[in-house]
Amino acid sequence: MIYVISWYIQDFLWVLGTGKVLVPEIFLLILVFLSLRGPSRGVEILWAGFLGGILWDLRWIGFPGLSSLFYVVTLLMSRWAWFSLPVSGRTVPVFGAILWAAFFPVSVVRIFMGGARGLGIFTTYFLQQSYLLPLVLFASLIYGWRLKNSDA
Amino acid sequence: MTEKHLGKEWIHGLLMIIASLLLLAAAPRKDVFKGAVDFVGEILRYPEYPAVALERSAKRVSFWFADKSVLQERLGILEEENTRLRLAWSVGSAGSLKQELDRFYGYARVTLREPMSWWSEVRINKGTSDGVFFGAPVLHNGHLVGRVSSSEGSFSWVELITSSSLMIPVVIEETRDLGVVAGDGEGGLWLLYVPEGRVLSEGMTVSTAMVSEALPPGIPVGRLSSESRKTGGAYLAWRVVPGANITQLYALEIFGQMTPNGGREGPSP
Repeated sequence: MIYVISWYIQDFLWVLGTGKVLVPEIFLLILVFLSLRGPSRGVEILWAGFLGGILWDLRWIGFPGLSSLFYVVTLLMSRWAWFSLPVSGRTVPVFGAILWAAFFPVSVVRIFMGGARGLGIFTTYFLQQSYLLPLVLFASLIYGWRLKNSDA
Repeated sequence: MTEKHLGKEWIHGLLMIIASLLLLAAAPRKDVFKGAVDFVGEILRYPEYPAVALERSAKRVSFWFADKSVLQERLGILEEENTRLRLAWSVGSAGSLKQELDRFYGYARVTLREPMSWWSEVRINKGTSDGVFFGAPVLHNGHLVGRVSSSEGSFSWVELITSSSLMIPVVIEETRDLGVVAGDGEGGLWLLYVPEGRVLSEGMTVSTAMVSEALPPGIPVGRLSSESRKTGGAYLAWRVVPGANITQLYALEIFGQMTPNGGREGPSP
């Protein structure tokens, strides 16, 4: 259910900001967040990402397979990086860093698909980061809070 | 995470990557996905409706604000234009009043009345070239308002009866008592040098007296008011209400002004 809700929120924001702003990848944020927290839910999350990506492409991009490819690859890489670490190394800053890095490939694709060229790329990138970083920080805080509570 | 889980996950992941790549390979053929794109769009039309409505409302609100600012700007321009038109109309109106006043022969237009000497003197647009001479009495609505104190080619100065330095010999019509009318420099007019014991009352007419040749007798000045005060000696001073509206002087009549053919014109008082 959370996959559907997060996808819908992203879609809702996309409709609101059509042609004006790049909408944050809330769907991917939730997928990565959940995939790093639940080691056994990998397959389920991968399929959610794949289907969500295809739906997104059919709805907005008109280029099926693009978002799903990036979502799946991002999820696989994030999980591989995270679970390769020893448990003691899975700290909140590392969690945040992986989450932030997970957005980079799809962000670049969105910038180019949005038509930004030249200096416009940097402008769009920094604008994108301005709302992406608070989201990543917020997700990291939630992760830290839940980590602390589960330890107790 | 167990090796079994990890292996399964990678297999699923690789399958999805292959599927995505195949889809990407077929993506340039629009006809393959056209139906799917339309279908997804149609399905999502309903859940997306609130967002569309919200976006439309936001647009409408922004347009409303934009329209409002345009209207305010236009209102400002119209107000400015209105002020200009009013000014132009006032100038035109003042010009026509000036022309109307100038048409009356024997009347002089007040061209200057300084605030500092408001009750003392005014300048008129008639001078020696129009036959105005020093000492000529000046009337307003048939009542004396002052005398010409100096006269140049095209203008003259008139000293008003409310000036404290102008003294006019007068007579009270009803009792034939003589006195002098002088101003206090603050708009007040007083009948001076009336001996105590004279029976005077409010409303009696004050006119110029036959004392000097420069000022013809019988020109009405005003009426006595009920207010009186005791001055030095055995005299009373009575406040006189001027017959002329001294606060609003636009056009004045010069008594005894020379006519263009050399004669003197004197409107009967």
